[in-house]
Amino acid sequence: MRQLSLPLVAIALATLPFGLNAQDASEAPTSTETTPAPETAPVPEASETPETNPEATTETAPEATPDAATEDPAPETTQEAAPDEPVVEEPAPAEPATEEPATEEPATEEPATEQPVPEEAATEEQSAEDTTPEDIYPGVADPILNTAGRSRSDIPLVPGTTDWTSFHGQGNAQKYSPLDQITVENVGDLEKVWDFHTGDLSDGSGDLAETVWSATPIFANDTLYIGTPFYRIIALDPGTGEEKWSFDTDSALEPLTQPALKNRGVAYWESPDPVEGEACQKIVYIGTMDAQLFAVDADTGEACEDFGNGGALDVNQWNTVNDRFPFSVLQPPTVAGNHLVLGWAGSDWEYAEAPPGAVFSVDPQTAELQWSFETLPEEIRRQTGTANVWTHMSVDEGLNLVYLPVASPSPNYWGGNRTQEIPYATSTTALDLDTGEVVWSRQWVHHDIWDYDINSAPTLMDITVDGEEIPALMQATKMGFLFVVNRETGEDVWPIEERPVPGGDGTIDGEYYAPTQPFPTKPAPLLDQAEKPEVWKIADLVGLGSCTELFDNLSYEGMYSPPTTKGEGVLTYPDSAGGVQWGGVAFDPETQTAVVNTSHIVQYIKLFAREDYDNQTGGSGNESGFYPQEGAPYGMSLMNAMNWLGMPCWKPPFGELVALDMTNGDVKWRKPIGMSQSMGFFMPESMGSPTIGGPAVTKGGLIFIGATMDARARAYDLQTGEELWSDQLEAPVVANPAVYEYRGKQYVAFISGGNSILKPAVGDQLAVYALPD
Amino acid sequence: MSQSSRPGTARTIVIVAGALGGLAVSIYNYATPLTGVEGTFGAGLVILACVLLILGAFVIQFSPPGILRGIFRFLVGLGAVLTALAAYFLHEWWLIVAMAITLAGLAFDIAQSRTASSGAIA
Repeated sequence: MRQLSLPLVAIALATLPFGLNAQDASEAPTSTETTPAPETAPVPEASETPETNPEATTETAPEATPDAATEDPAPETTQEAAPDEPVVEEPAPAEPATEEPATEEPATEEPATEQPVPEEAATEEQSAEDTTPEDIYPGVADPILNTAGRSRSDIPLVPGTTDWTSFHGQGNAQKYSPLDQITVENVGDLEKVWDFHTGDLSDGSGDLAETVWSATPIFANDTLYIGTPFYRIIALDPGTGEEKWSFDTDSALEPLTQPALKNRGVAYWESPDPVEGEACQKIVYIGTMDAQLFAVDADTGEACEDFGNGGALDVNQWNTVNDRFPFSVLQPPTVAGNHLVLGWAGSDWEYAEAPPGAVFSVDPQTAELQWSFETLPEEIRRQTGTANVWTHMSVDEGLNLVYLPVASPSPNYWGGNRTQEIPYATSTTALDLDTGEVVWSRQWVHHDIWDYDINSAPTLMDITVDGEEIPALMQATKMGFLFVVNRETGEDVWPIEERPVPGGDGTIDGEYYAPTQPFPTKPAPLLDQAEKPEVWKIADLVGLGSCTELFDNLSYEGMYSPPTTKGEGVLTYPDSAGGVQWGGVAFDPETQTAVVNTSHIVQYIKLFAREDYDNQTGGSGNESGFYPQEGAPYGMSLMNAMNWLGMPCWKPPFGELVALDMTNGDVKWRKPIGMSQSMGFFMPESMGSPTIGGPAVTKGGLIFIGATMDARARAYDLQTGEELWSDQLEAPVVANPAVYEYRGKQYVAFISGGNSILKPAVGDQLAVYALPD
Repeated sequence: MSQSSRPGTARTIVIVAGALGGLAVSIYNYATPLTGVEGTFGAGLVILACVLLILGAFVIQFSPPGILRGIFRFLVGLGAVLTALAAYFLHEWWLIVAMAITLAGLAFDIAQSRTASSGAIA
């Protein structure tokens, strides 16, 4: 997505725009999955019932899967559990899905759906794609559940260590530290004890593209490790910031698949049975824009020669289908026992046919492929693409599961080339760590034509609901929904209901519209997507009524209003910049409180028939706001709803911090977070700021977070939401902070790297805070 | 004709002092890392505003009484208020103080002129 400029008020001698740059918040997912299939690497495929029928995981085309069909042509509605929308019963799922809570709700006489079920499209597709006739909702993938449960080893979900060994702290993605030296009472005394500037930054004004540094520092092996957007690893003394060593991948600094040079840090692995005197028993990994994954000895910074080809794995070797662009490995791999699990990123919105999504597991010391998992059914793999995993994953080693946040298929805003069910697209999918087989999967957007990539690692949490201990998982989304399911089975914790959503307006050829979408009943959505957002009167006044005029020309029937060629297009709230981004949800296991930051951003999408698109843009290209979706009959534009001054047309707040009681799903507190800023001018904190990045929580009862446009690090009281401390950094912190203990002292580290999604500021700063001695 | 002020009286010295102080503050905020506004358009704009206020003070000082001086007094006053407002949104708190001094200086200038004028009539 594009830059979002949110200029604000003209005051004094100047106008005060605050720039929210919405660049592609979806981080240009693109993936490729080749089926490398070495002998050691079984290639698990889509299956509706992998758990009960492992053989079926060999690439079962969903539309051909009988259980994807439902014998009931008109879905019954169920009891309305949420205010506005009628509920539609989930079409009969695969056989293990009988416990789907939504379907247990008593039915009402509510019409099945007020939205026209696109029978014509469906039947056309069915005949064209040889879809099972009974499947009246092609494109609506049923939940794939693991009702048999799963045995658990004695590896705890929350490790006892105080290390911060991954992008989200630990494999569970809780971003939780058991440290309590810094407390609500003394956090106000926190001071910066050292900072470090990598020198690896570019504002894009020279030969190099600008840098986007969305990294979390890793603390392990008594060392703080960082990766940079110039694809270097730097090892630092955690107490002083003194450099121990650095490793340069010598990667070409070219933004091959992204609008910027991006990095999301490094990953760390150590052998459970280290061999005395041997190198690379502890390894740090970094990926590059051209998909080389480097492994470096964590003690010395020397390349691990046994890893891949002399220390680097060429992930792009598996890019063999629709390889319109190379892979990029910007997110460090997810480390899970003896597995490095990695996805990849690529160009977004450019092509209809793109490399198909895949996830690979490789040996941490040799890079030998252990297994791979493809997200797209084989039958349509070549006619679409992506549905990749470009962000971090989470891991429950006790259950031997890795959880994938899977992105949407290509092209992002038209789905006429992929009308069949793609069960793993825009889903959370749990894989067996040893085999890569699907254990369960939940699709959060059916037939996604809004680029609602699942963009953050699900947060794994043990919660007590109605007296029952539940091994749960919370999946935050761009839509502002928080889906909570049992992480062993994939079943709902609180009912997730299929509700009717709008169909198209008839302007888009070949499109299919999923008649229903899943809506969680609890927790409540982080923002109200049911109603058209209100126009912000100040922006409208300054814009001489342009905001009202724009909103009047935008159609909106709720969040799932399909893209159109009519008028100015369709209003999307939220779209790819909104909701929750890759910082995800933090969780305090002691109080069972979840913490999440969210953005309220209004955008609008318009599709253009190919000829109109070419006339509009002077040819397919990457003009401001326009993307070609080459190979599709429609190009598209995505704009932010702004007035002429760049002020947001919608009412603040623009971002919030929210705490949830996970014993009942209720909101404990919520408040605007940060200050929007443009051209230096800060807006009142009551308006909040769009956020990219996420929180960390500690046993000391604190939330640490950057994430805001004003480039500040902040600490909040976990119980009340009161802001207790802040400090100014160089650029927005667009990942999670790290919390660690070194020589008896607790530290909090923020990487201030900036991201053009928020504003055009870049940084190369690592700032570390502690209490005074 | 009434005398505008006593020759040699630096009526606008407080305006200049306030604006100079504001200039120093705004340059510091523009040039210093981690002020939150380093290198930004807004921080640059208030530097320019302070320079203009200083120039305005000199114009007031040396212009003959009449409409021109009145216009410049109005502009300096408006500029100081708007610069203070900008400073509020830039979180440049000391710049607000400087603008308050500038406005006080403007009041002093006006008072001085009136005193001089009254004295001449008397």
